[in-house]
Amino acid sequence: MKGKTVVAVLNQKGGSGKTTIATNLAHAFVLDGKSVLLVDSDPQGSARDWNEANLGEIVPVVGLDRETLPKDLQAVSSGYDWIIIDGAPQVAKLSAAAIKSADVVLIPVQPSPYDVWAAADVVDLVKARQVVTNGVPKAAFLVSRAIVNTKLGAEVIGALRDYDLPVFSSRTSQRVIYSESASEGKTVFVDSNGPAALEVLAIRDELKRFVGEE
Amino acid sequence: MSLRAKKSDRSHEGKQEALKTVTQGEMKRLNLLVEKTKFIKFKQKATAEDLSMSEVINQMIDAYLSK
Repeated sequence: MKGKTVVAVLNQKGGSGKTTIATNLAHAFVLDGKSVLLVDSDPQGSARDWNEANLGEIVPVVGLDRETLPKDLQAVSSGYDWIIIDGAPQVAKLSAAAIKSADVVLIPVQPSPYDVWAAADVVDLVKARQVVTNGVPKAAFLVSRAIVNTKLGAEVIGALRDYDLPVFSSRTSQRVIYSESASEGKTVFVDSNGPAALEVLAIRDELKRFVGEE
Repeated sequence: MSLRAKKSDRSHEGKQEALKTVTQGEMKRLNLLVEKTKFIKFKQKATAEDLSMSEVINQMIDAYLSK
């Protein structure tokens, strides 16, 4: 594996679970013994608020919400194994900057038709980038806030596959612990053997396989 | 009817800007010396045509390279 891997969690749709996934995934890599930097590229600054709430004790967080993200990131990313970018909820230059910085783009999608349709723009940007860079960044969908065993869930997977990007088999589900832990500046690892923690660990491990680390 | 992915729509302005950014390679700064009055005329004309000076220079470079 190369020195560091930059993962951008991106979707223009607000509420798709970007910050929840970015913060929990960052903590999951810390628990894996990795050196992790969380980059908040959303001007709303939710990841920075979360970091302030935990007094910066889980993972270092920096706010880089300018189009200069690719260059700024080079300046601060030395020595980290994993860099997780919490993306902005828009398809504009900030998303483009995150895509240019990333080795992997994870696109969280709630199991709703609106989220599936809203993903079209970010998919378009990723594919446009892949054409000029010989396939970088790799990209995949991650179903977030899934409700187990619903017909819509299966339909959503089918529709996402129409975009011709892989869909992670791991996912997050609708669980109160995601928002409760965030409100205290924590992660789902407050209950380290709970189902939400196991979901995030599964995402981390699938991501590692996706980038070829294991 | 089953749920389907949405077809790409490249029409809105923010997306066009973003597409331009992601397909751009690494940028290098070009410094050049221009006589002052020429610089002022160049800047005024580009502004009047709603173009940046960089856009005009890039068009010139593209035309030169395609010869």
